[in-house]
Amino acid sequence: MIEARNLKKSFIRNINTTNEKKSFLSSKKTKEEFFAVNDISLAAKGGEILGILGPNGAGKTTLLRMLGNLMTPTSGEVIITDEAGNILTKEVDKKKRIGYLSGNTKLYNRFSTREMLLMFADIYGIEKEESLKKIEEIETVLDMSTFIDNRIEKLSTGQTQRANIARCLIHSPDIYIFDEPTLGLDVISSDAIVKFMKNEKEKGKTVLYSTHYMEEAQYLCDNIFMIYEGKKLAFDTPKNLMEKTNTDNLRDTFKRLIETTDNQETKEVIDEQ
Amino acid sequence: MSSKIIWTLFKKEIKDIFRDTKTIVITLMVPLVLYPLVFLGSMLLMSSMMKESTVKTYKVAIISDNQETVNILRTELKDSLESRKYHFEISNIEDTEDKEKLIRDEKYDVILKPESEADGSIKDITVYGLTSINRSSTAISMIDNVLDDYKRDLIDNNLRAIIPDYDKLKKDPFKTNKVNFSTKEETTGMLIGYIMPFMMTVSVITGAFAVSIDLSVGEKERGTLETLITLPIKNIEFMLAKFFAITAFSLFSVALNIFSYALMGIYIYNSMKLSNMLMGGLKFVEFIPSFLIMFIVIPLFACLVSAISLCVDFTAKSVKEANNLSTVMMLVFMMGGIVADIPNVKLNHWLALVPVANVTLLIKELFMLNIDASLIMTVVLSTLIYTLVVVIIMTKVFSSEDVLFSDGMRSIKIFERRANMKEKQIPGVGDIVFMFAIMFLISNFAGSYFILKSGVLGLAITQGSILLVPILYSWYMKVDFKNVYSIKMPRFNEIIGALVLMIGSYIFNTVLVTWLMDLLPSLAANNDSIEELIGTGGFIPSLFIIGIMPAFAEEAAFRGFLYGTLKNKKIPIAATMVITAVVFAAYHMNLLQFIYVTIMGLIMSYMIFNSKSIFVTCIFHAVNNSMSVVFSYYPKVAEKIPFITDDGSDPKRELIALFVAIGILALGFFISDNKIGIFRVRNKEKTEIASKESN
Repeated sequence: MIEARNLKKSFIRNINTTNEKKSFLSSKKTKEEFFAVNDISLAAKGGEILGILGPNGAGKTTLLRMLGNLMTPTSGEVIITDEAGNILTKEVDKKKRIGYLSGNTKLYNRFSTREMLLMFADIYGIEKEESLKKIEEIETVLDMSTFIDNRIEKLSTGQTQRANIARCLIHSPDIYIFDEPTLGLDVISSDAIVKFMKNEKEKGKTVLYSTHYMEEAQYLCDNIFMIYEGKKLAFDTPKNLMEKTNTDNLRDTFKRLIETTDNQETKEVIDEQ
Repeated sequence: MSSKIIWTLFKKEIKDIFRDTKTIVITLMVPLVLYPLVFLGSMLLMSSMMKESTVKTYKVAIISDNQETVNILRTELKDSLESRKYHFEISNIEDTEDKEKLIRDEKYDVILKPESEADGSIKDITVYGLTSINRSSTAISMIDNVLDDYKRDLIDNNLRAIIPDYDKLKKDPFKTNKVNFSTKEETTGMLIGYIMPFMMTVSVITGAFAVSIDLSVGEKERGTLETLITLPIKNIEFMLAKFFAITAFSLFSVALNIFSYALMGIYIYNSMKLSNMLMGGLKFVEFIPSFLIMFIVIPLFACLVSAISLCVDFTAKSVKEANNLSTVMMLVFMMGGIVADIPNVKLNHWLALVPVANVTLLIKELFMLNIDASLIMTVVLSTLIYTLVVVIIMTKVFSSEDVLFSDGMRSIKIFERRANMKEKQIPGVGDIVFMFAIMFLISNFAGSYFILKSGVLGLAITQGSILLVPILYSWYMKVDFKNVYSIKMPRFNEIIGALVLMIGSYIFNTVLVTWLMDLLPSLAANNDSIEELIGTGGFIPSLFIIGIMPAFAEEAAFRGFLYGTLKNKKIPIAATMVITAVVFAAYHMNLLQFIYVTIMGLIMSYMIFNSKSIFVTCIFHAVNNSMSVVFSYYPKVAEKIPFITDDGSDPKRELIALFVAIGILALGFFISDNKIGIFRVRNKEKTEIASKESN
């Protein structure tokens, strides 16, 4: 099980305060603290696919990084339990239960997929024999036999993505965190990934994934978490969400929800004035 | 921390480096191909030049109507073949021909135009040639030799005619016998001692730098760092694996260089006569301890360089920025490396503590067969301690997460277009190093040139440039001047306090200097360079140039740029104060001054910490320097003030002076301190000041 409690992450960013043209000698910039993720709580159990939806820059990647223990939250905590339901405290133990994949997790170009998998298995502390067996298994599941010994720099986009997924599988995690795994892939490759996620769900694993493809999410996810400007917009099943907003597809639901929040915000501003 | 994970990661880094063809080709090519090529090339050039001068025939033209003269010259030139192995092809030409054109067209290498006496002997002779052409220039010097021989013969003959016993008298009155106590090992060692340190430093540094950027920011830019931190790896394991990989690679680069130099050495040994002179019967055994010690010191040094370069590269935002940082680092390291090649610089217990320089000097001493166990221990231990400190900083300060998701530490901010500079920024730590490197170069090289050329005025130019460097640097990067340079009106009690502290420290230092000179007389030796200059300029210019200007220039650099930057960093303020004082003292490049300027520096650090106004330390500094000028022009004034001079004759008086100085210092402290002093800021004022500052 994975749970997030009141997660917040703030960054310092530079903003241009004036719209004046920059001159050679001066450009006006000031620093500002802003929350990429602002007070978000969520939970996902085994045998569940949780879709994280939101427009670009909403804070999806930051949220997933914190859930994957790659990034320390400014405040709040991420709770991950083992099979027996005990809460894990060590970061290393937490990471062993997570398979994390995103557009930013690039692979070592100068290694072959097999070498990379062996090295990662070594770091996860898997015995040599076991890891060889596991790699063979992954090879068949992801259909990688034709390119597993080629250097990664020689692989195509789809093959690279499969190698990347293989990397997440090597330590048999029970939580998958996938940040836009189907982005930029053709129909066949992305179908393979969707199928993979469904399979893992049926095996009782937890899948958290973010996407821009609403149809895919509607068909795949058990729960949807919508995030907008770092804050929670909605957290419910796709069916409930569509009912609440009187729409018949997730795309419209998403638009409607964003519109209403924007309107509310303007209303609040007007009220204040 | 698991050694198994570190080992796995280490193997990964090494594999990754060795599969990066570009890095490997460059690392292999330079020592294995480029060095031997340059070496062989220069050898070939040298031997071909030597051949050319012995075997070639030079074309000489003679212009003369007198057949007798021509014959004399011909005989002399011909004879030279026997005595000196010069070949000449001699021809006669007319005076009407264009001599310059003939030589330029390489028809002749040299043209001789003798003027004859009536009997055909030579009176004067003109030699035409072109020194810019290699052949002609050699021909001229050969003709010179031939003519010199001829002259000597003529003189001998003349003298022989007058003095009967001439040949007996001309014999050498005595013979000189030379006995050289240097063994062949020592002579060879001296040669190696000049080459080895520089070669070692360069190969360690280039090896480490070549991969450190790739393993740090490079991995961030390629996006594999994020993949790596999805793995259950602790920060310390991650850092140590990288650190070991860089160290290993720099040692690999050292090994390649040693291999390459050894090959060249063998070549020299086999091919040149020089080797017989140097190495005939050389006992290589004598160098074994040197090599063994070197093989302990070099890996340690590689560790230090790797740790530093990894730390520095992790502060960078991008590979491009890391490259800029490397250039600056390279400059600083090379300065240390060059120290070993300065003649007369020997390793002592002070230099044994200076990183980089201590290692290069030690290697030099080792090959000169001066092996001093305590110095070796000092170098080894200090390098070990520095390495440990940097490794601890590396593992504690830099976490993989910060490196990955932050903007980098931006420790050098100057390499940015001015338009993109943030307003009111604080310089980075790298900026301090870079600014001081520029300032050091200007004040040392340009400075000594100007001082040599124009004395006191040169000093003024140097001081002016020292003042301008930090100010221009800060202006370019839009530094928050008010903050960094502590620009604030001083309070009245702070000014009075500064003057009182100044008197206290002056008396204290007078006693201290006397004692130090008694203790270590060698210190006094080169302490007078500035004092000589004081004498040359006249009182008022000296007061201005030595007393007042340096005060402002040095304050801008040290209490301004250095202290002002560090006080804004996450460093305890006490450490900032000590660092400022020590750097300020080290800048004076003199051991005696180092000791007492450190004390002055600490007092000034306290003053700027207390008053937050640079003008207070400016007043302190200016008055302190001016006093030296006043006392050297009017020594009688000094005699009238108690305790201000010290002839070192009365230890009791010195002790009293010391206590008086401490008393005055305490008084100054109580006058100027704003927290516990006599004129302390009351609560109301304090809040006012605080609110003003926060605005």
